[in-house]
Amino acid sequence: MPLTTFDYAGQNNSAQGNFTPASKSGCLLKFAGKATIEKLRIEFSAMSITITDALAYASQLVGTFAEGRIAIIGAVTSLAFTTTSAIASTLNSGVAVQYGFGSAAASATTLATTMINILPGSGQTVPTFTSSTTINVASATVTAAYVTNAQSQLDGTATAIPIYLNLAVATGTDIDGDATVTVTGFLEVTYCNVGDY
Amino acid sequence: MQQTHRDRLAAIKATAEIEVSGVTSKVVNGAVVPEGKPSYAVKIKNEAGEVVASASSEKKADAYESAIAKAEKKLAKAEK
Repeated sequence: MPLTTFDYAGQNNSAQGNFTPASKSGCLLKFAGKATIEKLRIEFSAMSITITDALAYASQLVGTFAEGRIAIIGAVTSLAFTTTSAIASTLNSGVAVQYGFGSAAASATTLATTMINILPGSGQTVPTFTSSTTINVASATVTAAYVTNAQSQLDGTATAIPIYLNLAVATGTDIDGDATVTVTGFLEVTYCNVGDY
Repeated sequence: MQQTHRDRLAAIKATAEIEVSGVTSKVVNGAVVPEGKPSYAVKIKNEAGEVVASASSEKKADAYESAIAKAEKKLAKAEK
């Protein structure tokens, strides 16, 4: 029998799968639908981001989940960053730049908490890439994964959870003017929308 | 920091730190943009980590230039 035909509304309680309802008047078991694990892939093809000199950090919205509580199961990324602005006068050559994916846009020159809660995970070591040493030439491709022991659930019941790609130049002396970098690669996120109210 | 400033700091065995104030950020069309007028404060530290000069300006390059020039003078005097 297809699962979609289960509906115990108005019927006697009966066991369903591994769950047995209490035999109690006013307590009714219903099938609420299948919770599916989804895997999304966002591909970047020379997507441009401006790191302003005044902030030394940058964000770009790359998508938004449907409303609901989002349980992140895992995420992986592989990215190559290319400085397309003059290196001597913008983002300096061969400097470390933090990157991560989060439900909030970057707001500091050190990425943390909700700026990285989708990858690598809040509280985890923030990955970095080395900036281009030659204009329009990509630096080495970097890879990173969602790393955390605790399952992350993001509360998107009131406002759907966005995903931002965040960058930050942690050392202020490493940027001299508004810099443009392009990003090529992908982000894959495996997640379950556990419900909305 | 521009390479010429890095070279001058290396010559006097000093390092620079910069702080930005007067600017906040907001998200516009999915990207963060600055709000306000930034001011840059540069501190120059000697090998011992002591601040030997500082300067601030609304232009980052000017703040570096002024602070480094002060540090060069001070450290040159100290050598005499």
